Amino acid sequence: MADRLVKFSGYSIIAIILLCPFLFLYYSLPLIKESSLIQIIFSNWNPDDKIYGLFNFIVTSLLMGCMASILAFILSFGIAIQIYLSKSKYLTFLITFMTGIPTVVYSFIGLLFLVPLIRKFTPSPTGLSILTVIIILSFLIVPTIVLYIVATFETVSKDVRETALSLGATEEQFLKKVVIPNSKNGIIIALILGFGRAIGDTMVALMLSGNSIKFPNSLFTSARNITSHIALLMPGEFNSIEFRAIFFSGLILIFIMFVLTITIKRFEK
Amino acid sequence: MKRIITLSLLIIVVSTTYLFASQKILRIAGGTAHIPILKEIAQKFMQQYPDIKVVISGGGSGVGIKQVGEGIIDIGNSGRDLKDSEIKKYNLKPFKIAIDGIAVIVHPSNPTDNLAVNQIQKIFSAKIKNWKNISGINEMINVYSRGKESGTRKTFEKLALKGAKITNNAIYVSSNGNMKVMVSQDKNGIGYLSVGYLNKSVKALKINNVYPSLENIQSGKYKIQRYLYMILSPNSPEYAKKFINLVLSDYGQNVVKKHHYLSIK
Repeated sequence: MADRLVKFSGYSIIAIILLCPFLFLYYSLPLIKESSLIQIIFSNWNPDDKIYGLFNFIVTSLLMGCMASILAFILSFGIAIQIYLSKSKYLTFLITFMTGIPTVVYSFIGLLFLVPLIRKFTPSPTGLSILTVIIILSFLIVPTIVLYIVATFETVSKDVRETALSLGATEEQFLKKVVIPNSKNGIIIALILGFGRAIGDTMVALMLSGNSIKFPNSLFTSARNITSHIALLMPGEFNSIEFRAIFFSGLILIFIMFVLTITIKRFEK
Repeated sequence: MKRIITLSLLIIVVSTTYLFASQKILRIAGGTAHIPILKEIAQKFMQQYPDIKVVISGGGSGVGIKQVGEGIIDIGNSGRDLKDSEIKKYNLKPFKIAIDGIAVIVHPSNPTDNLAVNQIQKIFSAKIKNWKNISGINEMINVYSRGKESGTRKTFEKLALKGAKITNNAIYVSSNGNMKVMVSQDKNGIGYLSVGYLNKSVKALKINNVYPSLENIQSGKYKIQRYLYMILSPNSPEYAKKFINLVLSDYGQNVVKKHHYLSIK
């Protein structure tokens, strides 16, 4: 009884996940017919002229994801080393706690404190800019990256730590010469996981990017990413072609996540 | 394992009984211009009918019409006229509850007092990009706009912009309240909102030398105005009609006036 239940839940989840892309594709068919695949992917959003291009949003998503994960990585690497060396319970607790904070809280704090600063000190006229999003997003994904890197360090060091220390290496030398070089794949995976989280997040970009539909030609302009585009279209008219762009945007996100997962599998070997 | 199953069954039973036993809920959603009025009337309504709980949320006029038609909510709010196709499709019944003007707003420190309609068109379509020729201050103009689901935007486009397209640089906000907050924090910003939301944090502009005051809206001198609707569908419960009756009563219309909208009487 019990393991039939477990099996059933397992298979149904797999079925739902496999069904999603096809369902999304089915629902976006009217859009693809009305426009064309190339137009959707490579042109600008202009529903008044019947052009439903998502190019700017895709670029914005990738830009925000890349920059945020790089920035977060710089922060995280130091924190991870600190946690690994000091085994500080407080720091670990703080980082674990950060994973649980809802993104809307991050966004709200960003809106209250970061936006006025950005408005004052950068060329961004409103403070709602790609840079604002990147900074908050990087805070958001720091815990993901830190926890994965620490776990990798611990796995790598487990078997050889005693040997290295008994040969006279200090903890720092051991970390620098043995652990980090052997953790390369884990570090790359952590980076990709962070990137995935940044791309998938909606609230931060929705609240802090200003959501204008132009091309993200500088860090200080306002722009819209795919996830916010979905959120912003949701209140629209269900039967319109415009609404179908939601499903296509979803399809793009699934595709990006698919590629990321495959890349992660590569590095896990 | 058995324990888990019993526990989850128990949770299901408890939560469903809770759902059925709890009080009736009147769900209202849609246009955000309505919210200040409805919040106050809802208090009174809940005093009169203690077994009914009123829940009000936003989303935009498009959401209000769609959701009430689909039976997700009991009353939909709309700040724009309903299309015939919408009324027919869901068999909707709109009620006019107030008249509302749409004001063009800037930051209180902005020295501009008046804009001509063609200036507004040029600003919102980014043909004029700098405040220099308008207020004399050499700063870029930041245009704020609502999304397509917004009735405020639809009316503003129809009556003020008249075909001029809102610029791609425009920053999108999701409600009248959000619009006020954003413009009140941006000294180079310009946006538009329902006059019911006006207060000292933003400055409403005269349009062609007419201020969006209640008198000017009533006399029709101020042209950018619209009806606010509350919409019932055949699925709405009978207490939804009672709520609308309260809004249309003398008490309700006084609340409408108190919040700087025009009574329809």
